[in-house]
Amino acid sequence: MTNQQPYKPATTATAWVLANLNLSSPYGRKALRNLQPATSQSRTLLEQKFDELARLVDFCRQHPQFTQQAQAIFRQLRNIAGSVLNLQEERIPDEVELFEIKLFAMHFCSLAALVNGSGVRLNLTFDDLQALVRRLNPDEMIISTFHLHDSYSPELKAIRNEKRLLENRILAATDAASTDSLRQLRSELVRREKELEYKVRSDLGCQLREWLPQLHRSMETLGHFELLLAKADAALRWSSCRPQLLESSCELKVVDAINPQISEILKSQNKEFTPVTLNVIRGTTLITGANMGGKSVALMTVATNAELVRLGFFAFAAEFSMPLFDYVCHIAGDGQDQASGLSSFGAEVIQLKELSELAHPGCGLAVFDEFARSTNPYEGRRFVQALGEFLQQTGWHGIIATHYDGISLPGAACYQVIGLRNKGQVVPTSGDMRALIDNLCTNMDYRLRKLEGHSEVPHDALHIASLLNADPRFLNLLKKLYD
Amino acid sequence: MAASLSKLVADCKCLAIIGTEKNAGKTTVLNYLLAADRRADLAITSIGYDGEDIDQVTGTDKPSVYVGRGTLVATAVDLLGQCDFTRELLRFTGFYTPLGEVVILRALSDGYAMIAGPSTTSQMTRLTRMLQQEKAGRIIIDGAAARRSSAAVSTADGCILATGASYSPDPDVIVEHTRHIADLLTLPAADNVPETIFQTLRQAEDSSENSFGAAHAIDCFIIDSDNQITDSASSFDDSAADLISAKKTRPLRVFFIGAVTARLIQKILERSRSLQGLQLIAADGTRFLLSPAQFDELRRRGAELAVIKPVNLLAVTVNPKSPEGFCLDSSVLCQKLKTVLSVEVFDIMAYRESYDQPATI
Repeated sequence: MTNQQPYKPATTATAWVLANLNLSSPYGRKALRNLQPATSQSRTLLEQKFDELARLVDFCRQHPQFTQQAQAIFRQLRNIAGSVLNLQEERIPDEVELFEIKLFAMHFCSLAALVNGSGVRLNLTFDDLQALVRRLNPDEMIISTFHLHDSYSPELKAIRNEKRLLENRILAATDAASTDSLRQLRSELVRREKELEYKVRSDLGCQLREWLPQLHRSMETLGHFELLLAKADAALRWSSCRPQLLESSCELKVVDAINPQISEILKSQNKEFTPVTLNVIRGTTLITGANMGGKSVALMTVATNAELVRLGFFAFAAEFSMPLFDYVCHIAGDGQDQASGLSSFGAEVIQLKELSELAHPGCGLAVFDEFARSTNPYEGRRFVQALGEFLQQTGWHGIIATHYDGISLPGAACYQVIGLRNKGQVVPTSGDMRALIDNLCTNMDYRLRKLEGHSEVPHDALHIASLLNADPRFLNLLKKLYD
Repeated sequence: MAASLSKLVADCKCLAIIGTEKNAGKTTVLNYLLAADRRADLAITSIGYDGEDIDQVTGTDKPSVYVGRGTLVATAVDLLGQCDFTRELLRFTGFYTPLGEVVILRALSDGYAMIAGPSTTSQMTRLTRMLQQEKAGRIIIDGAAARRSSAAVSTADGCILATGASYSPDPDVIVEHTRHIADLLTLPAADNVPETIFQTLRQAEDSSENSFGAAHAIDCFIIDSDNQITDSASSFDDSAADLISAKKTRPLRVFFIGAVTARLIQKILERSRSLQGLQLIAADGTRFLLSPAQFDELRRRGAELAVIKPVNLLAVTVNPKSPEGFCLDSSVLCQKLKTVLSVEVFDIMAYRESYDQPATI
């Protein structure tokens, strides 16, 4: 696991969700770095993870303070990996390391008590580190500070008493000469105290080495639990459902899915995300629709949720059932990489090639947003036609959003964005960009409509341009061409 | 004298000790205060890690701090090996210095401490809050030379300025220099500071990793009579000086987020003859890095200098010994200082003779 490359999200919205998880401890963040998507081979394991997540989500919904209490503990955790490594390599721990390990063990015990006391059934066991805390806290009362206590060594206690008496005499001394000689004596006692403290630290180091397996396990457990809690937190933050995993030949069925990233952006503008509902068949699903009609958002929403499900998240949807894909990819035609000499078109072609190599044979979801959008319409249409046929042959679940007319794919599922509600809408007089876009948004029905038979490409570009208050002289010229 | 110095600062909850220069005797003053008033709720820290202290690491003749049992000490972890008191580790602060993270300790015995604390104002403010949570009733911040002690004086509610022969063998030069620094430290508070300036200052403090705030391109703000910011500029090039000189409306108030440098003042003096009605305002007196001549010239031409947080200067202490080995007549020096300063002046040698600490651990 640790040698694996960190997973690279296929969509920006997935990356956003991962970056916005509630993770405050170094262990949770490490668990996120090690997070890898499930494959069709690991369906049973993923189902078990969903069982666990479902129990936690239910519990957290009923006990919101549980999440807060756990997060308060996570926020206090420091990374003790360095101290643990030093122990492992048989270096004598210094008092800072001992303090760090003690605090870790205490926080771990509080978390274990919180989780075990909650009664929620999780697939993880918390080691009992109380004896370790006791080892670093020989006094009756457990305190959240650390010192090399007198009771670790009678000699240490004796030296410290002696030193204390001497310090009292230094304090009481009146002439410089006697102060000086007392200080000489004190420095000798300090030297012996340090020697004895070294011995105590060295003994504690030996004893702590016996705890190495538990310490390693505990760090893993913390990371695992914090990530799980963050997934539950995300599932409660946005409306979500437990996804249903299906055989690879089944349809991907999405009901009222949202894209958390866009949804948050809209919320900040007091707007609402229009949930996405569609079925993606094995083969090709075509989406057509007006400019600014939300095709890209719909594609991103489906791809993001499918990807998050593979990563063990609940789907942000009312219903979500999908074959457990071996990969999810999102080719958006905006991958222009001039540094490597590729135009956006070139990048799409290369991405398709890479995908075919990666995904052969396998079962996967491949999403193409306006494939070949930047080439000429004459050839672009043929590229899309070929891609549609190719997807039908590969056995992937493919979605293509396109503007090109005349794509003929028997057996393909076709959807269209419902689009502009009132085409005779008066253009707002305001030149304010925000107002224009808002006006357009309120007039746009972003929902997808299933078409029976062939795809149709609506010709709404003129309306949209009018609604965006394009230059009137330009619009007049344009309208003449439509007549 | 000794007893009266500790009495003078007795009501101070957070005290900064800063020096006019290195070797001005800050640490001797600190040791005196620690010994004179062994209260159980004492806490000490320092701003950053002064060059002066490095000499202690190499073992040259510098006094280290001797703390009493019970004292809270906030210092960097790499210096723990050089602290010889028995201690309890209370908490990690999350503030990092080149010598590692600052931790809060409680001394369980008397002993020598090596101290390196945070160097930014915002961290120092947060650290003093943590120390108060650990029940510190009196916090002493070991500062640095005045011009590098913003983090100390802006956090503290009282300040001692240490001066001495390390600056010059000529008592008159020392007196002049000390008076200049004391004048800057005790500049009056600007009134009616707009809230936006406070916000900008806080942001600058939070974002800068050092207390000098050099990272801020726009650091100079012009405020009109309605207390609104009308212009802003950078004092790192000549744009701030140009802007100030071009503004003919009076009164004119100019706020600086970072330092007010000698270079900037020189430009202003070169470009405008009369500065009547001009008020230059900085966060505190340590931010004005002017020469005495510039300071006098600004005032002669009618400019007024003010600060957002005035320093409560409680006393000036004098170290008549220089690191080169000569020793001035401290009574003469103290007498001369008393005639130009409005605060009390103390000779630290009077204290050193009876409480002197050995040079090294």
